[in-house]
Amino acid sequence: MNAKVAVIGGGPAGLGAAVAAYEAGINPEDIHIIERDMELGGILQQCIHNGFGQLIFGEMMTGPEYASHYIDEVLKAGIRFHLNTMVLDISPDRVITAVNQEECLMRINADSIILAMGCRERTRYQIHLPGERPAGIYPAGTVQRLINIEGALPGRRAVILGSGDIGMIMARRLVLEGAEVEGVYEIMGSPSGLPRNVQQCLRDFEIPLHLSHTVTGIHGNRRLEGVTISRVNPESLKPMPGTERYVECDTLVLSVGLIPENELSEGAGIKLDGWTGGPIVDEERETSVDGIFGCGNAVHVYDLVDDVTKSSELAGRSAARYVKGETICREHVLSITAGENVRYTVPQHIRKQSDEPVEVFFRVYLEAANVKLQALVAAEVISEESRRVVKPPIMEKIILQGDLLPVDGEIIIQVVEK
Amino acid sequence: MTPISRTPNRDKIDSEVRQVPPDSRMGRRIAKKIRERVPSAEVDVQVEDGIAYLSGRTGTWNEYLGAGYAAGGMKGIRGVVADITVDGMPKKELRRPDRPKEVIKEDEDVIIVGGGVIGCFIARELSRYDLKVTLVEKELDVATGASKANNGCVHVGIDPGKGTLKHRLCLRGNAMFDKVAQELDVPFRRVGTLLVITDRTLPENVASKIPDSLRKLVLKYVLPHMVLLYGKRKNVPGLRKIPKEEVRQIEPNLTDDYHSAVLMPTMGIISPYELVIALAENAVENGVDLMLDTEVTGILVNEKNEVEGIQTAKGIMRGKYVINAAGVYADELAETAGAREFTIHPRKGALIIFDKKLAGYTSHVVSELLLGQDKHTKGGTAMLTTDGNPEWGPSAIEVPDRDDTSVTSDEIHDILKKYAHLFPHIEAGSMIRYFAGVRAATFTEDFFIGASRKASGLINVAGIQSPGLASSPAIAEYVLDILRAEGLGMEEKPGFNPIRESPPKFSELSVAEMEKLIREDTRYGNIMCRCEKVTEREILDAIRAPLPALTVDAVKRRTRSGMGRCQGGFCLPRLIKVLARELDVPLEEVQKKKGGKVISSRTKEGGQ
Amino acid sequence: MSGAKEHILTCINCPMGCTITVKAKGSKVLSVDGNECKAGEKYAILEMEHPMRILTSTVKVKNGILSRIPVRSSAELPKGNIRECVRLLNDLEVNAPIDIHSPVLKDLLGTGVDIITTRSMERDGE
Repeated sequence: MNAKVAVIGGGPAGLGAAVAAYEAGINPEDIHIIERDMELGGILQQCIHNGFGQLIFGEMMTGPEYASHYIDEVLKAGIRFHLNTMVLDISPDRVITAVNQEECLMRINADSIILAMGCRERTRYQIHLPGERPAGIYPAGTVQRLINIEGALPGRRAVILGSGDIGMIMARRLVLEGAEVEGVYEIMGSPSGLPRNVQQCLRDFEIPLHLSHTVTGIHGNRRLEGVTISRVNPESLKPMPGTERYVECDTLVLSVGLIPENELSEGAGIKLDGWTGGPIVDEERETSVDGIFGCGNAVHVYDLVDDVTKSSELAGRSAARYVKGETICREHVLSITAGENVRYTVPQHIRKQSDEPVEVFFRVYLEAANVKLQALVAAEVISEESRRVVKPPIMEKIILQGDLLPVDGEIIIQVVEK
Repeated sequence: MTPISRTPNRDKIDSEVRQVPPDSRMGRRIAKKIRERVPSAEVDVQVEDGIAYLSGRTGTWNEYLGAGYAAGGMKGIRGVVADITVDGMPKKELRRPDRPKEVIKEDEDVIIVGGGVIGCFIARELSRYDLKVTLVEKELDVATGASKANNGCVHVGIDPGKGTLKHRLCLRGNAMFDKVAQELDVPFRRVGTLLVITDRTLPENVASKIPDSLRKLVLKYVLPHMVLLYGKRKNVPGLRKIPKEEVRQIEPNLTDDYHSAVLMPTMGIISPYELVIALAENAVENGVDLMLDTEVTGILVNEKNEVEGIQTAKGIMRGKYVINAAGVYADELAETAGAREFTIHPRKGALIIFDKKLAGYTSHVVSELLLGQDKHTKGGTAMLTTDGNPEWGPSAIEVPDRDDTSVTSDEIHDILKKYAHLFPHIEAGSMIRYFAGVRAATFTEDFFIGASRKASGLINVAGIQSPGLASSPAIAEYVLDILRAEGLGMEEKPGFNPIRESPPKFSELSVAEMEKLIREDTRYGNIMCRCEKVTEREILDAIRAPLPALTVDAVKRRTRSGMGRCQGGFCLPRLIKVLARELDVPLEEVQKKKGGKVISSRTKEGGQ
Repeated sequence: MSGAKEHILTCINCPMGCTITVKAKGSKVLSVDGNECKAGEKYAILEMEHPMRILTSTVKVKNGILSRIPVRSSAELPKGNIRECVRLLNDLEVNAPIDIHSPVLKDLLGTGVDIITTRSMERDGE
């Protein structure tokens, strides 16, 4: 089977990328979306809460509504998609090997590939959570699937570790479905999810949020019986002896971070960024392997699906351009460096010479008020924006004007006080 | 009533060849030793028939252990029963609830208690003969205790002292593994141990007393030579000193920061739970009745101290011989027959597992020679499991609670630190899991295997810890010898089939083979576990096997579903639906393991 | 002014989540400060006088490819009524196939707000 554009993943990123490639002139028959689940939409189908679509549609949609907009576009365009299909391998020369029950084994020779696999949840083992290993400890996304898709309530009394958005949203869901949420515990000194979720998911339901606390023990051999909670030293983040408290619960929900899913990318020999966990991409979202593009949470974890869609539309357009042989010279590399109070940037470098503006996304390390976001070339500010406040949970971006960019060298992105 | 071994090359059993002083004098000697080692303990000692009975109190668990070890280390003592209370720790009451008196088995030849590697191996070996054999296991699967939570090393037999059961059975067991693994279709590889001698090999207090040049000489030449001699003395075949250049070739990611290395080629690795499952399945297929979810609450003995059967939570089973393979609870089980000959003290071992992405990182079992450490806490290796995950550990920590399989932050940290010396470039961030098992240690630190001298018909197979897995084939053989010596007639069964085939593992196949399988059964095309690429068909194979997988964990051990980097976050909601459908139970009844339901209820169904 | 109290609110209108300081006497708002946009001011006043929320949940579905279908309120509901509204959803069951934005419960508690599906769902096996 041949494809001009093969999209790995039918979630918001994959849908956006496929539609954009179609709109950029690729024949819909030549665009293939490969989705492992039984339907398109990805994680949005289980994100039944609202808050999606504000940037793109100017209204608050739920996840399934947002997904259905793009699914309709895919159907209307006649873009091909393969459901219940798991990609086993992507080769550096863009051969995709996948399996499903109808075609058995699929081999797709793709002119271009868009990686839109999304991300997975960090487990208790990755944060070294000590204790026993009973039933009842689930990542927030698994809880979300259990409750919203399967109609399964994981437990009667839950503790939530981590104040990521999904964790807070699931706190509210658990309460609405009749379970008790004893509290949300966050190791950092400020919530890691969006402020609005602290309000509408926790405060609205009088669920306590305990900052600078973590779980230091898991008890129960078979089903979870309780956890030990400890206060942590705000600087070292180490648990403080003597502050232990036993909390009875049958469920521990973990909302402790997301990791871009890139095992397939690695198999294709794509270089990953140690900070984002996703492929290193240029401003067109092309990875280190020719003709393979990345977008959405597979590249870096976004706060908002609207931004995922925008990134995927960019990747979709770029793939179309690549397929049509319209890619501009990419011999020079202008690297982007994370400067003061910037954890990472996406893209990591710019290598096409065009006058189009480039949006650089980044996250700050530390909350700061009254700051300037700056892009520097050779110690000279080429772009600057003001912010009343920047916070780690909120992704920032700065726009670089194409005509101000040098061909190669380095751009530094930094956040400094006004 | 000493068991007489009929295998010609092992006609000696330790306790028989030792010169045993009279009981009373031995008792006084032990009491003195305990007073020396643990002055604050108040312990009385009685010795009877080579068993030291300790009673009294100590202030701490460590003192309790000190007293036990003091007795167990005494030459001529074959068992230690420690009936010592520890201040602040209430003595556990053995539960004896009323149990159904209904007789559910009439006249078994052999009843085996415990579905770990030992119980299952004995069951499988007994299934060669025309016997009525039942194995009872309290959990919903076999291999749920120490047998699943060890690193699967088939040890070479260099560590146990000469003349111990451990030494003899480990040497013999190790040599038996190729055949067993082949018959049962369990992945087994003789990867060899690489023992490295480093700056940490000599204890600080020794190293500091030796001049630099001499120390290097010792580390580079003397110690490896001593290891070779030691191996020879222990009859371990094939040891050789291996030059650095060769090490670099065969283990390229190993640190260069060592002085010398010895290769012990007979070390093997196996998946410990796959072995047990295969043994159990083969036993079942050859006629053994394997009863899961059946807790044994006691051994039934008559007034002549003859075993008559067991009491279980489901009723009474009558039988002539009872094999006590109850692991960490073996002493409590023996006690129900009035046959106290040993006490088990739990010793926890934690292991950590890394992402399969690092499968090419290491291939041998790599150990660092560390001299002068506490002999109960040494050991542990950096290795690669048969599934291709690097694995480090185990630790060794004495814990009072036999069910304590928790892993503490300190343990994780210590293991990471210890093996980072060997493989400095492995990142802690690629760790995907840690777990712990509890070793069933006795104070004599040897296996306690034999016909009970207090209850005839009871065969204890206790104190099985490292190298228990390596020894398991030989232990089963030995136990059969003991049963014969105890009068059990064994006639070979014509229909015995030693072969067990494991169902195909999709992820290990070539693309062509994958395609062929999906064409045969489209459920191979439905991948349910993303990380390990486990298909629906493999999950069905597990649930429909001769020994059916009844829980999430049982499916996991058979298929690897949920064993990957996301640890079940993706496949769990899918898997429980399949389990509910196949077992014909509501979703809320599906369990991770016995007593551990995955969900509590359905939403919108009267839950408020 | 006597009796005026300061309230700190977090705006839920957008991801910025502005921290808004409201001075109010009872539910009567005297001043709003800290919001980046107009929507924030509107939110703050409403939040003080009569807080409103969108409700999202699921209801049971018969013969569907899944056993639950997601729903939301067609408009904001009084915050105080949310829990009661959720209880009403527990007894509902709809039949597949069903379209997106189909009402499953009309005029919730006399508010004029409906509960509507947020996705379509095919029948199982079709």
